Amino acid sequence: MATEAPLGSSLNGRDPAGGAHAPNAPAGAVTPLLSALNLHKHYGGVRALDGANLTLSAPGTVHALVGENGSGKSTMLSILSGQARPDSGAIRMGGEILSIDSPKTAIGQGIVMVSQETALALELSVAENVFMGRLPRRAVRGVDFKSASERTQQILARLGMHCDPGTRVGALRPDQRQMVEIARALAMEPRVLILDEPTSSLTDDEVSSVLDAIRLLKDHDVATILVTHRLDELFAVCDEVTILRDGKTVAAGVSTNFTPESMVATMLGDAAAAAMLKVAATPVAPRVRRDAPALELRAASGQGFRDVSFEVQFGEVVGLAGLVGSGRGDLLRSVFGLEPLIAGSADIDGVDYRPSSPRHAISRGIGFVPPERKTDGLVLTMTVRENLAMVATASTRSRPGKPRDKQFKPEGDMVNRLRIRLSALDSEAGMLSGGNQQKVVLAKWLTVKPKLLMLDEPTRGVDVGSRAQIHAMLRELAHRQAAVLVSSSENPELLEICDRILVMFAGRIIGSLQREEFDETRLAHMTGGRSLSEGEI
Amino acid sequence: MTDESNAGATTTQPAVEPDGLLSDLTPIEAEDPTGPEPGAGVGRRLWLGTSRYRPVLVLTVAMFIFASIDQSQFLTNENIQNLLTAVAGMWIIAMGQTFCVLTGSADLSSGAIAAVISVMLAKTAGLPTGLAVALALIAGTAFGAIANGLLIGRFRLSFFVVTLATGTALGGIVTLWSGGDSFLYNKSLVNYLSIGRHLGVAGPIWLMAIVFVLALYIERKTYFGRNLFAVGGSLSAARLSGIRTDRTLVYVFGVSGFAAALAGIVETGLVGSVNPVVDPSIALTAIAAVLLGGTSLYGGAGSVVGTAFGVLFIGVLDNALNLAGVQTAWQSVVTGVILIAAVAAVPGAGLGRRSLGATLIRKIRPQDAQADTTEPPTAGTLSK
Repeated sequence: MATEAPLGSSLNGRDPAGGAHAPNAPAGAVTPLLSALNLHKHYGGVRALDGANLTLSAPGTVHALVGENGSGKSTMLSILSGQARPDSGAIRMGGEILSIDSPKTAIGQGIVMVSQETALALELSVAENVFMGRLPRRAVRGVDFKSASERTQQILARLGMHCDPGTRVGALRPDQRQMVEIARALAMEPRVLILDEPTSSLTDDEVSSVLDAIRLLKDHDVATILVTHRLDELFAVCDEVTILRDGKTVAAGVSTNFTPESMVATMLGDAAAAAMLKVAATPVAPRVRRDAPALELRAASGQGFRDVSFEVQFGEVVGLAGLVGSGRGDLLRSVFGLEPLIAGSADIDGVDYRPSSPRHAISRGIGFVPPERKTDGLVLTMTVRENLAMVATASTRSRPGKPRDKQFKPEGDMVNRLRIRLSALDSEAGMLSGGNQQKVVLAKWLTVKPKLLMLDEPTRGVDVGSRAQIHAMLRELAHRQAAVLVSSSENPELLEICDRILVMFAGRIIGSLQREEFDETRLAHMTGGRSLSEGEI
Repeated sequence: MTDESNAGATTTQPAVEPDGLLSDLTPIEAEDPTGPEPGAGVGRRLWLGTSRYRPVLVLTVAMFIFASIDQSQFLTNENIQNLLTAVAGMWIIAMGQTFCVLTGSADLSSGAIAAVISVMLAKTAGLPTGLAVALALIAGTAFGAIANGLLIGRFRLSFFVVTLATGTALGGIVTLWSGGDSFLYNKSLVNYLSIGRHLGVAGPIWLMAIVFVLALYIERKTYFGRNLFAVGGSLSAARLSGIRTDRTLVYVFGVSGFAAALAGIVETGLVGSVNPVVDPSIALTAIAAVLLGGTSLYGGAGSVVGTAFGVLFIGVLDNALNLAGVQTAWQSVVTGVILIAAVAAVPGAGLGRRSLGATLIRKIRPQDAQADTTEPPTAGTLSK
């Protein structure tokens, strides 16, 4: 497939700040700060990069690197940060060819990466984390904490963060921790800073402070390569964009040349994008009248929530909105039997339900997709097949001669018709990308056809394509008369897929919105704690 | 463009179903060491399946061949039977330990349970032997399940503390119950299991074979066996999937208690007497054999097959050094060194996911770095 140019205008490089990057692009008037041209890299039989380019035009620009999971983003980052060497291709910094063969040489050349997983020592102070392994020393008295602390304060000020460098990192909020990670990278005085999904584990309200920090970096002439799945934040801070698909750069240019729609279409390719549009056009399910709701809670209280009453009908997608700590997650955990329900009562399908354990909840037809897929959603060391079989066979007794899940064929209306490659089924779940892992978590619940499926942060850290597929699946579940209860800190997600949204604040439900009343500003007001009437002022 | 187009090879579904949830479920790594090509020969598949315990497998075979050539008395029916009989107790305990280690725990009380059961045999010598042996096995299983299993599975106490404590307490009970005396023990049923020969093969070797086949069956074919891996891989994910994780741990320590009791009975018969001492090293040596066999100390990966080779390695080494007239203390030194080497060479068995061997290869030939690098690099590498 030749390099497509679905957005020709963006590939023409009229603007030096957003120059396009055909492999043999003539050197423009301005030499770009960093350019990676025609990178190839394969792992075994898989081509991770197949002629990918990335050009960072000038110091102080923020460059977004986007693409679906598996499109080659990680490989590109590994190569730039010295964790992997390309099979072919060249990396230039200010016109000079760089030979990056280890993270150490990358740092020496001014390329520093902050990886997705935070790596902080929670028991150490901010200053000790920022200068981890490189604490300034004095000849006799050991570590020079004073100078470390001063320098830390300077660096944090550049990020617009003000906190005592002596604070224990464990006492910081998640966004502040992310800032400490960025500060650590800045302490190495990079010319190019690579941020791999810095906001994926943050909630909406925390994201903005990290984005502010990225904006501040521009003023200090630090160029940033930002990998993100959140298009809203991409358009908020990024100057230029490179889009990868199947290991190739399929589009690049200044971000104003793109719209969110064109970007998704470019990322997914034409066929997949068309399929997505088809799903989006699926009408809302005609609801079959049932006597009893799938779940009814009456004045339920538990750890983190009080006096909660609501019901979820069959064929309905209900959203739970709210800030982190509003009790959304606690509520789902209690319904699933992980935490006790202290007061109140519940019915499942019209029959009294007392949550006691996940196993009991499953036997009553409840499914739960937890927020942490790597630790709680999947057993990463087991195969995809074994993970898929886990729920369906958890209560199965062993009998001699009866095949175990090694022979498990994913069944159930929704899973069965899916094309599943045997090689993927029998590889470890830990080998899959985040989006695919989340799809396996969802699929393992689909095998048992739950009456009520509860999901907590169903698309956290999931790429655009998988996210759309998961959303489509939830809609389809409702279409098939299952009840779906989704808790999410991303309000746009809830507005997109829900029939009704309940807003929680400080452990209570403070309002609800029907589909006709959906409005982003109004929902944002409500999640911030303002009741419906106040929000309307 | 992607290799999606040949995905249909495995199913007959239409090629285009873009909204399929798992349709693009391609693993990041191209070559999966655990899942060889379906077309590969049986021999090759067997060989690939040994990856976790290959170092100890190769060493054991090499040592066996070397000893056979070097020592004329080594490869004789009599010596091989002695070799196996000598490790019978450890073998049986190690099979139980494998289950514990697969769940991410270990049973430090095995040696003490075996000793208490031995004293119990002496104290129940008046009963019919069949009944005494049955009671002993039940007692070992019950103690493991109730004392160790409930505290660890149900009350979430640390396996290390619990089994260390129960082992210590049982050690005291051994002395108190026996009064510090040794007893001669000579019962036909126990002799049948230990010093008897059947079809020319010693009783303990039969028991080893039976225990191994049973353990392998449980590990590979039962849901309990699958649950071991799930609990060890991620306790919370297993629980959220509806697996009874507490009950699985209770059973696991019950199995380990059963194995310890059986080992106690066999050893009593082999020695012909009951001695009021706990072998302090047997539990740890058995755990060492499990780790030599490639089972991950952190749970979730491994097999009783590897454990079998781990025990055989210790047995062959000990026997060969004995024949060669080398001090037995050297056996411990060599076992220790090999343990580190074996664990370092097995991916996932040590602390990091990447094996030492792979790291060395990376250092020498960076282009062979394999797909390891697709793992998200940690920020830790930045601070180096």
